Amino acid sequence: MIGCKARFVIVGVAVILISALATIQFQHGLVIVAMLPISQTEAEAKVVDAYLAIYEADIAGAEEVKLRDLSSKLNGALNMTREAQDLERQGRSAEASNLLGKATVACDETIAQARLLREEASRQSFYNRVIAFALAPTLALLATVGLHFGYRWWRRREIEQIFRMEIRLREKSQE
Amino acid sequence: MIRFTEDLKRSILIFVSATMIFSMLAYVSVTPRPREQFFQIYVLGETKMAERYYPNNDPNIPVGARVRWYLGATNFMGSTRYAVLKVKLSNSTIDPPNEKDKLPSPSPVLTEYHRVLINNETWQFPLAWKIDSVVKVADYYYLSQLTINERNVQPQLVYAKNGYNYRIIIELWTLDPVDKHLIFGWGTGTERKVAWLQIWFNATLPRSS
Repeated sequence: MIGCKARFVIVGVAVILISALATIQFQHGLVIVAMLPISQTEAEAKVVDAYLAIYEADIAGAEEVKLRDLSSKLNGALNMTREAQDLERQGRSAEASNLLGKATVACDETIAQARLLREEASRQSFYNRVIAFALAPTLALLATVGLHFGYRWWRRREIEQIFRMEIRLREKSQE
Repeated sequence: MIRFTEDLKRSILIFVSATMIFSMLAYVSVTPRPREQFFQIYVLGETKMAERYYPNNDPNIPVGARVRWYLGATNFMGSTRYAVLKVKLSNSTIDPPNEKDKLPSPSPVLTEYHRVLINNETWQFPLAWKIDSVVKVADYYYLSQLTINERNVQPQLVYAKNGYNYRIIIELWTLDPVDKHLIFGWGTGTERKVAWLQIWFNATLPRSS
């Protein structure tokens, strides 16, 4: 028989272990996920999620070079799921599961990178819009000031020319 | 009362007009231009050209003869897309894809290839296949086993009288980013479009010695 104290100790240790595992899961989720057996359907669903993450980053205006990197990583994961399917057909379930785990890890990494890329692209896109629309009144003001002083300068020159003509006429008449 | 001199009135008019013009320019510069969105798919022969689709240019393909094609798809959708090329085995009686109703062919799928393509990316890969065995029932043949890109495929029963008029149908499917489902063809807003190809051939039995 286990005493009351021992029970508390066991429960306590279990709680500590579970919370430690939960922390690892939270911080290094990919590692734990990779250790669990993954089905073909789950891996395919992950691939779709990763694709959608890349698509959203693309729509947000992410750079083509970075998108190309992410898509090639995802295509690698797609190839792994296909290879896993072949292995499963050959009855090599353990290898198939291992490959699916790797594919899932690649998908998770892709999702995380695509989300960062989307945020970065959204921020950049927002700044570009703000700058573009803030530039409009600034340029308009510069144009107004330029035209105002240009017009004044032109008017003064015109008046000066008229005065000079009048002076010349008077000088001629005096002669 | 504020008195607007001629100069001030002119300046305000210029400022308002210039603001409108520059705002329009800003809007045009930050708004992407609408472009036609489409996919392109193709099949090339063994020379990577639109020729020599059959061994010795003979559409009567014997058992064991290796046929080599190149399948390709290009994404002109303006964004990253998930494309699937489905390779189907059909005959002259099974319906081909219906372009009007955007329905795929009911022919059995032999194999399918998935790929994520960024905008303007072309994906091309070889499709090497051979008929491994043909079964004859009365006047009808059916292909009981094929090898496609080193994978054995046992297709569902597709009969052809004397082995004539078989066809390989290649359909383009895409993942709809909104519905998250594979659809035949692709969607551009409210419109749906499809793309498919077919190559006819005849299956012949091995010559008896």
